[in-house]
Order: sequence, then structure tokens, then C-alpha cells
Amino acid sequence: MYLIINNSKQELVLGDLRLSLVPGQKQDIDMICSRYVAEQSKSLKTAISRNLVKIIRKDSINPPPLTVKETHTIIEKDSSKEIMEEMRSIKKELIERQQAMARKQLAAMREAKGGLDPETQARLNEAIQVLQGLTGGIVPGFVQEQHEEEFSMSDEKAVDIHKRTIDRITKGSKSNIKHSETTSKTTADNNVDELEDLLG
Amino acid sequence: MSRVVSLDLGTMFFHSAEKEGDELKFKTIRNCFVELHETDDIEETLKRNNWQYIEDDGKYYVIGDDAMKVANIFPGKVEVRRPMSDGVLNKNEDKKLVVLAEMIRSSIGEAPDDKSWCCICVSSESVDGSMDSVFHKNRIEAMVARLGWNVKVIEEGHAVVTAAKPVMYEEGGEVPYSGIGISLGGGRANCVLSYRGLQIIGMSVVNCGDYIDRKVSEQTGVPISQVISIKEKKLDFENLDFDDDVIFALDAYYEQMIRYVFGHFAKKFQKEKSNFESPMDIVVAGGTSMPNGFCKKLEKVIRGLDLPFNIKEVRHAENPRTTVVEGLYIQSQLAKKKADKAE
Repeated sequence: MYLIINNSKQELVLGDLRLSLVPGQKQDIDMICSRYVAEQSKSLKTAISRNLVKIIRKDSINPPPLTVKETHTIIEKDSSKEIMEEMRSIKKELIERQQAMARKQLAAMREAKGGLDPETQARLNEAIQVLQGLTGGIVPGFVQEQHEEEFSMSDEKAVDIHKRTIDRITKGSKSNIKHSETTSKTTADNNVDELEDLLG
Repeated sequence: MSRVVSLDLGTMFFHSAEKEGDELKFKTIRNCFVELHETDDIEETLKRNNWQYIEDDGKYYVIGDDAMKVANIFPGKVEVRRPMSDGVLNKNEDKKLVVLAEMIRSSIGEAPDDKSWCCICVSSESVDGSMDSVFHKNRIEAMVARLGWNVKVIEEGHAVVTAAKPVMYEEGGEVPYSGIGISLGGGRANCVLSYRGLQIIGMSVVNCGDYIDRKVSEQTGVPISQVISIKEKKLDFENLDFDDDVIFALDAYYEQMIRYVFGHFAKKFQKEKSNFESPMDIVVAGGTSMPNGFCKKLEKVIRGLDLPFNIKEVRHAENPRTTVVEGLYIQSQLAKKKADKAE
């Protein structure tokens, strides 16, 4: 275990570990990368030296050979109430964050009606998978949507359908409309020639 | 004989264009209407006042500037309605199709043959979550096509580039029809980057003319109609009266709008991984750009932004209100020539 806490008053981003910590948030770095990567992380070193991050617990990754008695002691320590409490709190926090994300995305989906763009959809799926992993496959308040069959229509056909609709809606209407008229010198012909040359 | 025309269905104004001799003839009408309450002498009233109207299913709708007159005669009793909102068909208006269809018919009429062309425009892809233009495009295209026209559809900002001809300054010389065309309308701001007459990037946002009017009205407590009137008659960016709350607020929200538009355009530019190092012109058109000194203000604001492209000159289109429909007319001519050649 390599447990750290964001000791600062601002959200902290450890870029080379792809990790962001809100103020007071704890994280076991061994859960997200190898110890070697953590030891090489410049952003972590800097954050520790500036006292932005505090190390709560750092286990040795190559512990000296232990006697049966010593092993017993460590196991007792790892399963101590304090550590278990920390782990529970991290788990709870993670679950809450993922659930909040899922709720937010669902609300946006309902509002947008037109659906999400592919990037957001991929992120949402990732979040749901993580959440399902944590909650044993059940995401509260989330009902997986059935994928509707893909449907596409050519522009020509769509316009034809719209034509029929407009004909029906405007049947029998009549008007007396006079538009105000102005004229102006134009370079339109020159522009047409130039664009023809450019576009080939 | 075949005809070539163009249509610009704006949120505030409806323009059409067609060549007449050496000149381009523009027809314009305000894109709004009011419904008249039924009375026995309704038709006589309309004729006596020479109001423009549409009759549909036994009901009468006064349209264009006459609608504004009627609204002023009966304040609070009739509601000014708009077929379009935020640059697309107004989803809350059930008479939009009837009104627009009659406006289109009365401006361009029916095509004389199957070789006549009409170019229309739609907003570019929305980047701020506003409604897209797919449904709008199909509806408008159908309204024109049902009158027998061949229809070409382009993005609004590209029409500005086509008419106003911005230039990119490369080592080998100036490249025409290359640069940024911006159309600032009532409903939306449209922004397109083109190179050698081809559109490269396009985007639109809704924070434009109507948004500014609404925000200024909210902040100052002055009714929107008065805000619009002050904007059109008094706003001068080269001589701002900061003692006037409305003028002060207009200046602030115009600046916010410029930052918003260019902030989104810069993001879009980077997202598309475009790489244009040569400085380019920016050409501005549209009714929202009409106040005196607007282009200077725009230039001052964007020169202070960290944009991923270089700007040579910011200029106003020659006829900002009709630039889009003129660009559409040019594109309509190109479409016809191409079709004729193909035959």
C-alpha cells in the first residue's frame, strides 16, 4: 500500500500518474500503477516536496524475509480497524462519484433527446462499467437502454416526404405579400468566373 | 427561360436575390406575423390598410413590417409571432410552414423550367448544444423544391466568403476566397473558414443578436423592443455613452458575444487540427454587426485573444445585410453552370 492524501486546498493533478485528487482525497497509488512508476513520478515527488501531498502509509515492496511471528504482526496491522476504515471510505467515495457521473450523464441524455456524441457515450460506458464492477453489476437508477435499430434515409427521400407534408399543410392558403425591393451593383459574375477557375 | 435565384431565410429577415440587368435585385420582408381576430369586415380592413397577409383555413395572418404596425396599434392584444427561432424553424410555432411557404412563393415564385436553380443556406454545425439544422434544412429544401427549383444548400458563413472574398496572404501571393466569413444574425452567429473557395471548417452558436437583446433587457429592466430600438438607433461603438445603462450593457454583451464566438471557433479549429499559418482576412456580415464601429471593436477584442490562426485584416462586408443572399446567388450561378456543363 502507498496511501497518499491531497493536503492542499485545491484540486491536485498528478499528470504523469493520470491522477487528480480533490482536497482531502486519499488514494492508494499501488492501486493505479506499479511502485516503479510511482517512484519515477516527477509530479508526485514535487507535490510531496511542496507538502501538497502527504504520505499516510507506504509499505515496502521488497520486505525483508519475515519470520512467522513477524508476518503475523504485519497481517494483524493490515487488517487493523484504521486501514479497513480507510479502504471503506475510499470505496464509498469512488462509488458515490461514479453514481453521480452516471446520473449526470443520464439527465443530459434525457434533456438532449437527440442522444450523446460518440465520445461522451464512450466515457459514459466506461463509467458504467467501473460502477458495475464496484456494485456487483447493478447501477441504481440506471436502466440500460435497448439499442434502436439503425435507421437512415437518403436526403432526396426525406425532402420528398417533407414536400408532401408542406403541400398538405399549405393546401388552400392564399396570400397578398409585397416584398420591399432594392437593387445594387454586383460583382457576382466576376465572382462566379473566379470561383470556377479556382474550383476547376 | 431558366432563372437563377437565392434565398436567405433569417430569423429576423427574409431576403431573396435575382439578377436584373447589371444589378442584383433584393427582395426583403421581416420574418414575423400576427394573427388577426375574426371579425365580419376583416378582409375589408386588410385591403383598406393595404396590409400584407396570408389567409389559411379561414384565419388571417398579417405579415412582415405590417405585423409590427398591427402589434403597435393593438398593444397587448396581438402577439408578434416568428416562424424561425435561433436560426432554425421555430418548434413552438404551428403556423411556421404556412407562413414561410407563402413568403417563399411570393418572393421567387415557381421555377419556369427544370434547369432553374435556387441556392439556400443553413447554419453550420452547432457547437454549443443548440438545435442542429438537419430537420430545418430538409423542410426548407422541400419548400423550394416543391416550386420546381433545383436546390443547392450551403452553410451561411460560406456565403459570406463567396460574396465578400476574404484573402489569405501566403508567400507566393494572395489567395482569394480564403479566410473567415462570419454572419452575425438575430438567431445565430455563423463562422466558416474557407480556402480557395472550399469550406474547411464551419460552426454556429446561438449567443447572437436575440441573446444580446434578451440579456440587456434582463439586466436593465428595459423592454426588449426598446433595447432593439436603442441598439439600432443609438449604439455607436466609437462614441459610447456609458451613462446610459442600456448602451453600457449592450457594449458588455457584444464583447461577451465576440469572445464566445471566437472562443468556440478556436476550439473547433484546434479540434479539426487545421494548420493555417498565413495571415488571413476576417469578413463580417449580418444585422447584428450593423452598429457603427463594430468591426473595430471586434478586431480589438480578438487581437487580445490567444487564437490558433493569424489575422491580417478584419473588415465589414460591403452590404452586411444582403451579403449572405448575394453569396448564395453566386453559388446558385455556379450550380447551374456546373449542371449545364454536365449535360
